[in-house]
Amino acid sequence: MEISEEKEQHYMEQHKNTGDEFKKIERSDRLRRKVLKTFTYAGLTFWALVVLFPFYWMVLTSVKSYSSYNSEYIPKLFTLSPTLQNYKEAFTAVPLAGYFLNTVIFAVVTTMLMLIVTVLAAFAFARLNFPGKHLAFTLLLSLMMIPNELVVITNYVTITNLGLRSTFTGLILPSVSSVFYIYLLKENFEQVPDQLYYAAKVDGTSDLKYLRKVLVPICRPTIVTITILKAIECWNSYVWPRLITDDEKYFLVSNGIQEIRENGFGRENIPAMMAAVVVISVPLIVLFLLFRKVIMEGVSRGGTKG
Amino acid sequence: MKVVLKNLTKKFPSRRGKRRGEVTAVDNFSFEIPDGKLVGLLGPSGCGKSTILNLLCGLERPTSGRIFFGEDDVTDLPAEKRGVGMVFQNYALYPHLTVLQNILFPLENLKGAEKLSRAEMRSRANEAARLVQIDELMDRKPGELSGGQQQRVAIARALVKMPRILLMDEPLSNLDARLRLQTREEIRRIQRETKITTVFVTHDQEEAMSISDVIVVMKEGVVQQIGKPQQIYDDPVNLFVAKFLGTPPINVFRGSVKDGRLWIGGEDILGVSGVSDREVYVGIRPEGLVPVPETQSDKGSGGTFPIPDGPKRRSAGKEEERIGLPPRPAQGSGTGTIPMSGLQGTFSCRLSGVEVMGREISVAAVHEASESPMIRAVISAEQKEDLTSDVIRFGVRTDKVFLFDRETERRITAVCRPLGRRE
Repeated sequence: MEISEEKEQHYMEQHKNTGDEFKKIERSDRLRRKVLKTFTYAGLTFWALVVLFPFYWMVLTSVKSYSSYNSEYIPKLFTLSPTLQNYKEAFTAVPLAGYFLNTVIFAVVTTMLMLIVTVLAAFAFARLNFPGKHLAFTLLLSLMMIPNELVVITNYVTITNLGLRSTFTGLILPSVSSVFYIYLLKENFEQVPDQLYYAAKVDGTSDLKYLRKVLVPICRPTIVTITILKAIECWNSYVWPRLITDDEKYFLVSNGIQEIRENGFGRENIPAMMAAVVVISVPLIVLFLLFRKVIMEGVSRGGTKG
Repeated sequence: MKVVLKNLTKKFPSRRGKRRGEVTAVDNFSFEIPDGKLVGLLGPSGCGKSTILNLLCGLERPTSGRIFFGEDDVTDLPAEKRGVGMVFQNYALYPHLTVLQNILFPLENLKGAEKLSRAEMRSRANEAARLVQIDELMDRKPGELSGGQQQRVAIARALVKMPRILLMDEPLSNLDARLRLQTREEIRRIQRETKITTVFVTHDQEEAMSISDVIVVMKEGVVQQIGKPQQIYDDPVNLFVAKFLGTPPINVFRGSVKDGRLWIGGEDILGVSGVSDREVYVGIRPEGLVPVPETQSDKGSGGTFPIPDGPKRRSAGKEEERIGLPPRPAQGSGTGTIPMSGLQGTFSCRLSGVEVMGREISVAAVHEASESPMIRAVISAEQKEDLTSDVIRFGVRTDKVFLFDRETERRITAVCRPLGRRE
C-alpha cells in the first residue's frame, strides 16, 4: 500500500511538473506570436502609409486654394482652410463633364468590342481547327514583342490615311484588339477539359452555344478581370487620344487634366488639376471596390482553373 | 432502338513527324445491337472501343461504313443532331451549373417540334433524377458531390432527353471498388427499367461480364468475338480472348499433342482426340487446376478428391464415385457438363506460394513451360488441403482446358479426357 502511494505521489509530482512545463512553453509561444504579430502589423502599416500617401497628397492639394498652395514654399502636410473652389474651377475652366462623358463612351465601347473580339479569337485559337492556326497564333504572339510606341506611329499613319482623325471610330479602333488578353483567355479556354465540349455537343449545342453557355461562364473570373483591366486602361489612356484628337469635342479626361494644368495664371494650376484627378479617379476606385473579389479571383488563379 | 454498324472503319491520318502511316483504330467493324440490350465493348486500352463510341455519338466521322439507328442512316449526322445520350469517363458535368441545371441542359437545347415548356422540362428532369436517386441533390454544384453522385448526375443528364441509344465510356473507372459494384448494379437496373439500347465501354472484363447481355471483345480495332458473357468465357475463339477474360487470368503453357495425348513439359496430362500431332498453346483456367494430394495421385485413382464447387456438387461427385460411374468426358466446346469425378494428379508444378482470399485460396506455382512466370489455381477455402510440399500435383478439369494453334493462336477444337481411362 505504502509503496503504491509513494508511487502515486511521485507520479503526481511528475505530472505536475510536465503540466508546468507545458504552461511555460505555451506562455513563451504566445509571447513569440504577439511579438511577431506586432512586427507584421507595424510593417504593413508603414507600407500602407507609403502607398496611400500619394492619394492623400492628391486630395489634400485639391482642397488647398490656389493662392495658399503657391504661398507654401515647403508644402504643408495639412490645411486649415479647405476649399471646394478647385473643383468648381475644374468643371468650369474646361468642359470636364463633356470629357468625362467622352471617356465613358470610349471606355465602354472599346471594352465591349474588345471583349467580343477577344472571346471569339480565343475560342477560335483554343477550340477550332483551321489551316494556318498555329502560324497565325505565333504571329499574333510575336506582336507582343513590339513596343507600344512603335505601334502608335503606324496606327497614327493608318488612322490618318483612313481620315478617321478626331472621330470616336479612330479613337476606339486600335484599342479593340489586345494580343495579351487573347492569349490569356485562350490559355484559360484550353484548360476546360475537351470532354465538356464533347458532352455539350452530344447534348445538342452548336459551337457558339457551347461558347456562350459553357465556356464563358466557366471562365467568368478571367473575363471579368480582363474587362476591368481594359476599362482601366481605356480610362487612363493618354498618348493615343492626345495624338489622334485635335477637336475638343473628342477630348478625354486625360487631355482635360493637361488643359487644366496649363490653365493657371502663368503658372501651373496644380490644385485645380488635382481636383480634376480626384474626380476622375473616383469611378475607377468604385469599380475596383465593387469587383474587388472577382478581380482577385481572376488574378490569383489566372488560368489554373479548369 | 436497333443499332446497326456496317463495315465501319476509322483511320486516323498520320501526323507529320510523330507517326508514319495512318492508324487504323477500327477495322471493318460490323455489328447489330439488338433493341433494348446492354452491349459491353471490351478490350485493352487502345483497341478502338472508345472510337466506336465516338463514331456512334457522332464526335468522329467514320472513314468508311455506315451507321443506322433503326432504319435511319445517321452516318453523316453531327453529334448534336443524333439524339444520343452519353456518359463520359470523367462525367463531364458542367461545373458552373447546379445538378438541376446540368440535367436540364440537354432539354434546353431541343429545337423545333421537340421543344418543351419550362414545366415539362422540370418534370422530365425530376423524373430522371428520381430514377438515379439524386432528387435531393438538385441544388448542389458538381464540385459538392461525391464521385458516385456525380456519376448518377451524368447518367440522369444522358437519360433526360430519352435518347435513342445510351453510350457509356468507362463510367465506373473513377469509382472505388465498393461503389463500383453498387453502381454497376444500378446501371443494370436503370437500363432494364428504361429499356434503352445501351453500349457500355470498359477494359474491365469482370465489369463487362457482370452487366452485359452481349459482349464484344476487341483487339487493335478488330472484333475478336461476340457473344453472351458466359459463352465467351467457356468457349473463347482464340488465345487473346481466353487470356483477356477471367481473373486470375488463364494459365498458358507451351505444349504439344502427340499420339492422342496432350504433353506439357515432360508430362502427358490429358488424352486428346480430334486433333493431329502438333505444337499447341494449352490454356487452363485457374479453376481447372485442382491440387491433388500426393497419396491419392500415387494410387492413380481419382480418390475422394472433392471438386471445389460447393457442397452440393461435392456430394454429387462423391455419389458418382461411390456407385462407380465412369467420368463423363467433357466436350472441348465447353458446353459439356462438368465432370464430377475425382481427378488424377497428372500435372506437377513447383509450388511457390499460397494466397488466402477468404472465400477462395489462390495457389501460385511455377512451371517451366508456362508463358507467364507464375501460374495460378483457385480452389475453395473450405478445402483443407496440405499445401506445404515443394511439388504440387494438379488434376486438370477437361472442360477448363483449351488448345490453341501455336502460330495463329486460334482455338483448336479437340476433345480432352482424363488419362488412363481410355483402355
